[in-house]
Amino acid sequence: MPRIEFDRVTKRYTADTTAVDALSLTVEDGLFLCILGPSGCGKSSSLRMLAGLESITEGEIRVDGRRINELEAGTRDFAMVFENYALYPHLDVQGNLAMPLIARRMPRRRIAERVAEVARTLRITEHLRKRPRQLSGGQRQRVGLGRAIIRDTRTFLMDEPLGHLEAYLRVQLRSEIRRLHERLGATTVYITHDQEEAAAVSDRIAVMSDGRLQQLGTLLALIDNPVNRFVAEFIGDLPIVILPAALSSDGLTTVLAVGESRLPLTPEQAHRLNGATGDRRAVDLGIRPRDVALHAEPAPDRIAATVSVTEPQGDATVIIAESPIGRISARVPSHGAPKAGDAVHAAIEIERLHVFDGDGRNLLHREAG
Amino acid sequence: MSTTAATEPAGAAAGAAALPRLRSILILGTACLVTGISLIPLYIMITTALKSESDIFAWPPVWAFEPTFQSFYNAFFLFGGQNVLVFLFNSVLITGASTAFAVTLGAMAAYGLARFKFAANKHLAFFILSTRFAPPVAFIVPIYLMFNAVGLIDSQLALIIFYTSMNLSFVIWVLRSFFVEIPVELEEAALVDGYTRWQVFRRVALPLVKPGLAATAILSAVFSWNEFLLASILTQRDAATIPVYLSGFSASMGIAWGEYMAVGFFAVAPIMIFTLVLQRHLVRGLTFGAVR
Amino acid sequence: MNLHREKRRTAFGLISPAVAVIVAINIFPILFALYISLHFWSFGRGEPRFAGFFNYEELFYDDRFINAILTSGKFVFLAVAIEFLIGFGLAFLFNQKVRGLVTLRKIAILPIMVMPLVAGLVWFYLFNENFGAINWFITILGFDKVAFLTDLDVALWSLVAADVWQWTPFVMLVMFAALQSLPEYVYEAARMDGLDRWQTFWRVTVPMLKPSIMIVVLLRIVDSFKMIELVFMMTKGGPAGRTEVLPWYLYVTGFQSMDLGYAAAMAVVMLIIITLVTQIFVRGLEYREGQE
Repeated sequence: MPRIEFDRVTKRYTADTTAVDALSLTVEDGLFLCILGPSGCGKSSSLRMLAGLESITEGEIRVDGRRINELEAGTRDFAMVFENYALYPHLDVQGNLAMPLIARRMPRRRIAERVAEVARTLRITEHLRKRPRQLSGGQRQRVGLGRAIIRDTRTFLMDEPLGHLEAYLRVQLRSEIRRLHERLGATTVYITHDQEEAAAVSDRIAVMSDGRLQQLGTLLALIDNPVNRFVAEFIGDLPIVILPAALSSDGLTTVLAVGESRLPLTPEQAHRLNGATGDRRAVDLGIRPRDVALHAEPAPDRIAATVSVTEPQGDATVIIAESPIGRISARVPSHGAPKAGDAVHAAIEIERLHVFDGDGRNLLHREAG
Repeated sequence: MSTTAATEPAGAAAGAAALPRLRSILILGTACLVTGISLIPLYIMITTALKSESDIFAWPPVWAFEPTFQSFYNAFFLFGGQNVLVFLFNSVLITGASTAFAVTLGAMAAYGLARFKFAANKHLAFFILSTRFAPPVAFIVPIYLMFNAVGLIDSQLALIIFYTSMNLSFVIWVLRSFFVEIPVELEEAALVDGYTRWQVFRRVALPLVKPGLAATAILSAVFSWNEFLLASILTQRDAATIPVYLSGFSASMGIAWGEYMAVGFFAVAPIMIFTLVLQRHLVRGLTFGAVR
Repeated sequence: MNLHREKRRTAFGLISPAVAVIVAINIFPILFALYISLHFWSFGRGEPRFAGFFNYEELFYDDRFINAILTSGKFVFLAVAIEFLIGFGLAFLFNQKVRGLVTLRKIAILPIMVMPLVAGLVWFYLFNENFGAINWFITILGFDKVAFLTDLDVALWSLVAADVWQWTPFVMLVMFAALQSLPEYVYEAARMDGLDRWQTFWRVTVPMLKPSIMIVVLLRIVDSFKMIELVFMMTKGGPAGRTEVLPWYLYVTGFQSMDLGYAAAMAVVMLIIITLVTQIFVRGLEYREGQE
């Protein structure tokens, strides 16, 4: 079970196009790592460099301590599952599954056995004689998976394998992928732009943007402790609320001024913020909708707003309200929720707020242990 | 062991597309050789056309010589007389007309076969395709008799009709696969907007198959321009094309090489230029659909 | 109901002009040829007399006809085999990412555009025993001159050489277009699967090229079967019938001996041969596509 290390890996296509910028991360044995990020963030390029399909401009990739930069793709002992399945159109399913074994010149009978085994595992035995064009998307991807697991390798690279499938298939197949990973004791590197999928399937998530690794951690860590504004805004089922704010200190207490409201900060927060911002007092406040409570009465530490949209979602309702300084959303129990047009006062849970400086850094980010 | 940019071999970093030097040179060399072989006969043709008579028959062959336009002069003003312009005119007229007809009628038929479902569709398409394979030489007797019966021997119309037919099967074959590729939704949207089927064909479908139109037009023109056998059968004096003129040479003059090559040059040059200029349409037209 | 009829009418209107031309030029002559083949008829010497299958019987015992079939078979086989092998290889050569190949390729294709008659003319000149450039080259290397067009054993090969010169670029062009259209992702999968270059070539590239291969081979077989210009210019069927291919024998019979009935019978047999060959190929293609 290999341990994979990216060491300041960089990919440059031309002098001014940098797809991946000094990526450093480690994938431990048996880990299921998801690389998550928006289109163009460099996640695919990183995976392809790992696979050997792209050359590495700078930096080194190591497997179990050994540098693999120069190794040809087929010799790295990785199996890859592609976004558009990449099945051989002129071969039937059986032929597609057999190809990795044919490449290794395995005896014919042994190949046939393995193919039958894998087909059974992935429940595609009835399709063995069909061509890819006769299969549905889900079936094709099963074949793609089959081709990956047929080889007894322990490392899987998956490049948005579920991207072209319908929602219900995505849910179904991702749990199958997870189960395969556990059953085979594999190490998996998985690319997606869908955070729900990432959360469902992986042990750790690496968030990338603009070619750089933003943060690596569990989903919970990313939600509660984002390292910067990008991660805070990218992660989370509901968009985070960002409001312009200013730090104000009179020596004794430090408050966050948000429009007309004054939010008292905890001593720890105050200490960190005062140390960090120096002379720059203008910051951005970030808070998740579930940490916003709505009240009918005003208060100095509450933000006044008017409800514009309500989105009932079963037991909870998402309230979107407009305040003088920006839009606030809150998730409140549906029972007794305010209606459009109502005046509300938003109370922020101080312990859980984030403060971002002008560069987007989270000034209240807590380094892991 | 970590590496920095300094120790990374520049070759690998420059991208997978950079092949080792030696291999590139070998490839380029072979390609030059092939291209050279393609060009040498043409080069010989031009130089022979420009040689004086003694140079032409010299042995060993003369490679450096005084160019002269005597052969051109002879070919166009002495041997052929005014007929040369007639031949040229006929070739241009017949080629232009047959190409225009073939592409027009062919595009219509290709569209009809691609878009309309009817019982005989597949069979009709197959029949049309199969006519491409019929050897014209097998038809020379009946075609001659047919055209003779309607008095069309030695008329441009005869060749125009014949070449149109010869080109139609190829045009339809290629354009049909182009039309099949276009998403139906575009045409359906136009229909919903109130266009007639004919307008949909002209304004929506046709513009989308431009590469195919270009490729088939080029190849049809080349075929019509070059065709010799039926032209020699169906025409004699008034409607004869350049190939007929060329073939008639040897009969009267023994072998007038210089003049021959001069006419050959003019038979070939227009097409060459035509093709070089429109090259990319050819490859694009062929890759788009037909050759799958 | 109206829509249905309107569609029918539009389809008819689109397709029928082309079909009319094709039928007129292809169907009638075949029927006419069948009719004539059952008669004795020399042009200008009286009316046709019914002969039943006499002409066909004659053909069966006609050594010259058998020779023509065999010569055609030899020519087609040699020409197509060589053109395919070289053209296929060249397609891969020009598919490499080396600078300059694009331009070279555009030039290498030029022979396709040359009027076959002119190609025959130029190669006639090149092969000439006394002042042809090829014999000059051979003597430079120290060998004796070769009578390329009059030597019994060499003449057919000379024709093959001229045909190869002209049409190998065509094979190369078609295969090149096909290579370019191969999807890149399949090759990435092959790399990840661990296929080496040999395996990738035979198990991925060639199978995916099969349809294009079959098309281009079929086209070349059909077209080389029809070839007559080279014979007309270079050997006129000689020496001693060594280059008398079917089209030439037909041409001589029909338009020199004017033996129309016999020529028509020959034409019918030619059509049968070519239909059989193309049917085998096309069925093979369809079968393959049906499998996919």
